[in-house]
Amino acid sequence: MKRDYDVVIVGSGVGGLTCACLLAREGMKVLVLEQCSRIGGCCSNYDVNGFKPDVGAVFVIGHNLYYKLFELLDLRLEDYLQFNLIDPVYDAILEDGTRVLLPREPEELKEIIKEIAPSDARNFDRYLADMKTIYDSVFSTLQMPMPPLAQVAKPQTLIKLLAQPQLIRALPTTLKVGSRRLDRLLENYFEDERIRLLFGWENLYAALPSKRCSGMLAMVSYAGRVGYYYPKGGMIAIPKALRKIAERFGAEIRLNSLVKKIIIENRCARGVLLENGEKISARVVISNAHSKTTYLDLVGEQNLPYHVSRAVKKQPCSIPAPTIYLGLKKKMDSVRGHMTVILPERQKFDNIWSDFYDKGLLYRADDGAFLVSCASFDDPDLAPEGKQVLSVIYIAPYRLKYHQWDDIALEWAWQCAEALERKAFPGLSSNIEWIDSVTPVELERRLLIPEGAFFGIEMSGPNMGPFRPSWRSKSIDGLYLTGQCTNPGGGVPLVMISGMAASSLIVQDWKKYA
Amino acid sequence: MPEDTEAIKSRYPRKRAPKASFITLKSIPFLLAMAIGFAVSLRLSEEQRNRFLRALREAREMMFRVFV
Repeated sequence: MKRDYDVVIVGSGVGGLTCACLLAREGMKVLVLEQCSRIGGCCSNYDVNGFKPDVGAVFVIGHNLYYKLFELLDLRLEDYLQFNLIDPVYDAILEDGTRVLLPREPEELKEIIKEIAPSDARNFDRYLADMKTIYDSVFSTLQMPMPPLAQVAKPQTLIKLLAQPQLIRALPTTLKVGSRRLDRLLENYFEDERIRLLFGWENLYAALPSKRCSGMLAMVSYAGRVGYYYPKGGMIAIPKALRKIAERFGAEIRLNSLVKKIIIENRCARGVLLENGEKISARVVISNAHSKTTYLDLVGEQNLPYHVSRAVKKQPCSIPAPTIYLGLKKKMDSVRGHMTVILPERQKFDNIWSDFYDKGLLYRADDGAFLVSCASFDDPDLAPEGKQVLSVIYIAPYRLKYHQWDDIALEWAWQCAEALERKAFPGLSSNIEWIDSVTPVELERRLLIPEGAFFGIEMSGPNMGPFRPSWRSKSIDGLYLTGQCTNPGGGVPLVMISGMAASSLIVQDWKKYA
Repeated sequence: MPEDTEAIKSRYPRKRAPKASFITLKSIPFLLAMAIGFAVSLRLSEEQRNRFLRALREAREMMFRVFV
């Protein structure tokens, strides 16, 4: 039976574009459909009067993983992307007024720890040794050459990966770290509350309170010692590079094309129906959308068995990542690094979850935790000449108990700006030329992500591994999923891995569809 | 004069006793676990109890998630 395309991909996020590159390279006729006018999804940027802040992801962790994709594509990463090292990693501001630039080099960092809490300098060595053991063992697997695409998602490849001697040697340390909660683990390493906070707030990247996430999250903090990177041209440089590669291999990318339905016949995906009524048939459909959107809106409950629609409905979304964007009239000296983190004291930080987030309340802006990313710090082209752009990411629930987000969005943004002015950037409010408050509700509207959940499905134990939506749909034949809702989870390199896995499964199954 | 015990017995013939309980041997471990669980839950703080119930709910949902 003749089809318009071999593969139709819904969404041009990093997962979708990874699939487009890999499958187009295999000779398949690929079409990517993007509802926005820009590619990238959660790894993109805005462009308002020359201010170009990032949409979601603000830096790159584990940049080594990107080389593995390029190895599969048989291309050189350097020809498409340029990564700049972020150093110092953070400008950290604590509630007691402590303000330190956290360098990448462990020895320099140790000196800073010695100044804040002398007793923890020794403990830092212990922490560093354990983290290094795990990190090196995990990344030793990257030394393995990439197998052919069809082999990537086969169990034997995973077994071969897990059987690496270095990984086995590091198993006791990995179990010690991974079996504890992050907050308990850090209590074991550090005595000073401020040091625990400096090494223990990055659980936000997994969108979980430290009481509910594994100690393995401490690896994120350690990854900063190895190096966080920022691509030249902003985070959108990554999807742009992937788009260039996909188009080079013959894939087609259509913007402003909202998919209304995935066409299902006898529990088989046969193509997609666009909002404008156009029908596009395909042998295989890949969805880079949120799993709830994919199953409940695009596939439709009527096409799903009861137990599947029930599971999809009840699976918890991760926390949203609401952001305030600030375009500044002139550069500020008080912005001392690519990323500034403003943290309240440990107890208040933990209470944000139990006392506010879980109850649908907003805290006082002065008690909040903020991650401020300055895209134009390393790359001045991301703001008009002489100006600066900031993205202020904070924690807030999707549903507010007493307010509507749309009613308070701007007022809240100004309250946050004033709090930032008091704590970190003197003169900020009067220096603002452009302000945009992207609340969880607004995020949902712009990117069509349910509940504005940037990390897709919650990245907790009961929602990982076999309990996370599969790359190959178990209820709809010919439907594959990629993105932050599938394994291994949210974050640009992880989403890239999900793209590789979904593509690998399609290549394995291709005989069935060809 | 009191009636002869044997005469009374003969008037009320001995019947086979009904089954003592619907509880079978097989269900005893389950009931024991329930009792222990209940006793332990009384000793838990509210936070611990909430966490325990949450874990139970999660376990129930996880059974469905493997089919997605």
